[in-house]
Amino acid sequence: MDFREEYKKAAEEFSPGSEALERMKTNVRGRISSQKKSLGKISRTWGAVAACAVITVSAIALAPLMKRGLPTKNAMMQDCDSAAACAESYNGASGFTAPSFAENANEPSDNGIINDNADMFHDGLSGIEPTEKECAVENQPDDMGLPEAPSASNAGVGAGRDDPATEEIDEAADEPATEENEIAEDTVAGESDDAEDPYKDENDIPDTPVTEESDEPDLPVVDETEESDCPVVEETEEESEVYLNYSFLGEDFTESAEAWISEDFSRLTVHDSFTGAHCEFALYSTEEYPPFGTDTATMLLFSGDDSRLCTVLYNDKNRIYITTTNGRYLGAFDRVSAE
Amino acid sequence: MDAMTLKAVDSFEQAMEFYMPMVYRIAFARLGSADDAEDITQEVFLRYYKADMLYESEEHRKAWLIRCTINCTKTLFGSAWFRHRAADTGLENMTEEEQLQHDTTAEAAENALRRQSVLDAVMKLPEKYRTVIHLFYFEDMSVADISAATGIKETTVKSQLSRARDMLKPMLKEVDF
Repeated sequence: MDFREEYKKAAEEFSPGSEALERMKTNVRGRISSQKKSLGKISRTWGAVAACAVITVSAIALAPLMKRGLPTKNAMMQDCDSAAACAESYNGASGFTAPSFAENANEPSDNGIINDNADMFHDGLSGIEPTEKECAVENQPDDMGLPEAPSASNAGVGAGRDDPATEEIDEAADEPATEENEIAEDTVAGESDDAEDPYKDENDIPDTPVTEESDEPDLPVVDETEESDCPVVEETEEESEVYLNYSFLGEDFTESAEAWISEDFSRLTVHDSFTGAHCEFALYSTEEYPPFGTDTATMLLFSGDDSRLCTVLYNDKNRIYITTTNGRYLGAFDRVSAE
Repeated sequence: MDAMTLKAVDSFEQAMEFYMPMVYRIAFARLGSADDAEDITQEVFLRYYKADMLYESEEHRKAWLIRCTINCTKTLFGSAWFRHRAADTGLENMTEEEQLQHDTTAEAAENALRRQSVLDAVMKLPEKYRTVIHLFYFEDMSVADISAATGIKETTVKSQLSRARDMLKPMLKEVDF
């Protein structure tokens, strides 16, 4: 009897059937679409918040100037097309006389007119004198003071490091007895895998993964280009989608509902950001199973950073039963409060 | 298999079709549980989609999936999902006894028992040995390929295979390795 042949036959028996394969594919597609929706909501919300913040900051910065009725610095400089015009503009304002300006303006001097104006400001236009910082900016070349745009290659490196799969490095380090540590026992001294293992996760396998575009994000892109209006958070695109509506325990939920379960699996929170419905549940039992004929709904259930697509089986007795879509039963939960 | 583009998302459905059984079997070999294997398989393909990488070759894609599967099983051991589970789900798939009842003839029943004994023996091995045994004997991967996919040195893979065989021999006396 050949081990390879026998093991292959045995392993084929625990291969997933077509039904299980379809179930897994459906779950994966469901989780991807759920996360896309979540990302879309987050990006839209924070996009709107960022736009509001920019407008607010701009308004705060401009308010003092507008209050004083003064033109902005650029407008001032545009008005001062010539030194003579500048002198004429500001003579009356400060009693400052600058006969030399007119002369300077007619001179083919090496000194630029901007510098002359800067000198003028420093010489005594109190009240409208620009700060030192502003003068410094005006005397700088155009490209100074601007942050250098990140190069495409740098962006690519950053994008690569954001790969969620890389979290395994930290997680592996936290394991009390890692496989690598045990493997080290198998190797001769000085050949520790930990020391020399050049790749600790799936992204470091020998053929270095190549990201196609350096500026391409890791996650599926949600189009945010049209999200500049403030403060629109609810999106028409969302409203146009067809949700499967369901209700249990007197609350209306949609298929976009999400649930969070506590670390000890004793408390459950269900929330639907679309309808605003919210329910709190406490674990009743892991032994009681759903009665025949209960209604079902599907939602994404989070446990910490992890999530599973779950089936909620519910009846009208303030009790729901949660099972993962691959059939793992988590228990019966009773409603404890509602908002 | 139709030629798949090496871009992850573009060939997502094809990759699921082709590699999902492999990922599931590796997860099952490491965990010994169909439910957990299903969870891991879904997680692996979710990460595959999110990473959206451009693979250099089909071998590269396969190695990435194997590595990701191994990492995910490690993560599962410490997760709340793994610690909190109902003792008896009541929703399980067919039991071993029920499976055996389907093998009506004596010969089929004998074959089933033999395969079950092989599987049981493998499942008694430490997790790290089960992985190399599965990749070597079922996926027909060479030691070098296993080393590349798992990140374990070739010498270590060899020693793990050797030790696994030594542990299996007393349990499977009729089997040639």
